[in-house]
Amino acid sequence: MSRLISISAKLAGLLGVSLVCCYTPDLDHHVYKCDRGKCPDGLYCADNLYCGKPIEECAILGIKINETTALCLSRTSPTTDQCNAALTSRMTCTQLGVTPELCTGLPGADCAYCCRK
Amino acid sequence: MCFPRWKSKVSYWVIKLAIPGAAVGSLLAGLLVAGDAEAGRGFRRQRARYECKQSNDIARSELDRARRYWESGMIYYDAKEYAKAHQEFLTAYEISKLPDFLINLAQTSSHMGKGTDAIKYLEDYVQECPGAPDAPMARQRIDELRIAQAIKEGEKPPPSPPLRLPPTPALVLLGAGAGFLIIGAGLGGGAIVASKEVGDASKHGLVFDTSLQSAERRGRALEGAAIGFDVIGGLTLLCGAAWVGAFYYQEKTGLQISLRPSPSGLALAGSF
Repeated sequence: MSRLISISAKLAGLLGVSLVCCYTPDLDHHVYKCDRGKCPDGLYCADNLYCGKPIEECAILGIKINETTALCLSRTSPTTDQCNAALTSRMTCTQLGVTPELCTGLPGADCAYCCRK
Repeated sequence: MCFPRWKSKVSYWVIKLAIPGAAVGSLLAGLLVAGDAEAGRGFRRQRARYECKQSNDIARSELDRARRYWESGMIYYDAKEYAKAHQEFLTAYEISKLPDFLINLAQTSSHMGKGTDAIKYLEDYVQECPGAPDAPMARQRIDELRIAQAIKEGEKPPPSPPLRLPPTPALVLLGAGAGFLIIGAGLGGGAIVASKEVGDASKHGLVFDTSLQSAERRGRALEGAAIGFDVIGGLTLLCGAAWVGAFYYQEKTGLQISLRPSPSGLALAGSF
């Protein structure tokens, strides 16, 4: 009987291991360029340049780096900002502590760090 | 011909079993030394005709050989090396066929924990020498050994019943379920690899090109397949485990459980 229990435990473990799987790429720590408008699942092409997703910290699209910081992408009008002004401000992101520095490698797009107020 | 005193050497039981005033060996000694000039150092005893069944005459040289083995056996016996003593007594018996050695053999067997052998030797002795003065003691000793054997048997745990395997289909379900889960785990691993490829932070700033798009499609497909195999495998495994569990439950309790078709679908029935 104990042998049966042991086998059952192993099978349950196998079941558990099997369920820890799935396709879940980490897309919050780097930015892809769009390929003719195509981006990874769940992301959208911003200004036909970079892939981001609609998040509340950003005015249009971006990626959430951590709980308080987002990288917001896309061009905006001269009078507006990439950050969602109601929640965040790029002015408060003086100490980012974000490595690597993502905006540096993204020429041609408006890129800003927006931090929670 | 010189023989040592044949007493107080074997064991208490042998002494007790032997006729008063003489050890088992003395019987043999009596046979050997009767009429010997130096027999005063040993016991002189001749068996009466009615004591034992008739046996063939043994050459004196053979008796001498048997005696040497007996002496050697006694040395081992005194040193509590019963296995060696037994072997020596056995050889002496095989040479001489003197039934007295059967008692010695019974005694060494008893010391070695071979109660069944001891009983057999004593039975042989009683059969050979039904009229011997120590035959009643031998019979009593047989009874004692049998009681000891019965107690020993009673102390042993009852033999466990042979393990019955569950029905083959139940085992097949278990095996298939495990197999599906393993396949699911493999596919899930493939999905994780694709996931790492797409989520690789070193690809920052690169175009999400066709190879990455392909990796993403592959990852999604593998994920779907993995989940499918996991679900099928899990259900199959559960069915197999339930079947095996029901089998062992029935084995343990005697309760009969069955799943039968009924007009309204399936019915679970049980009986004692």
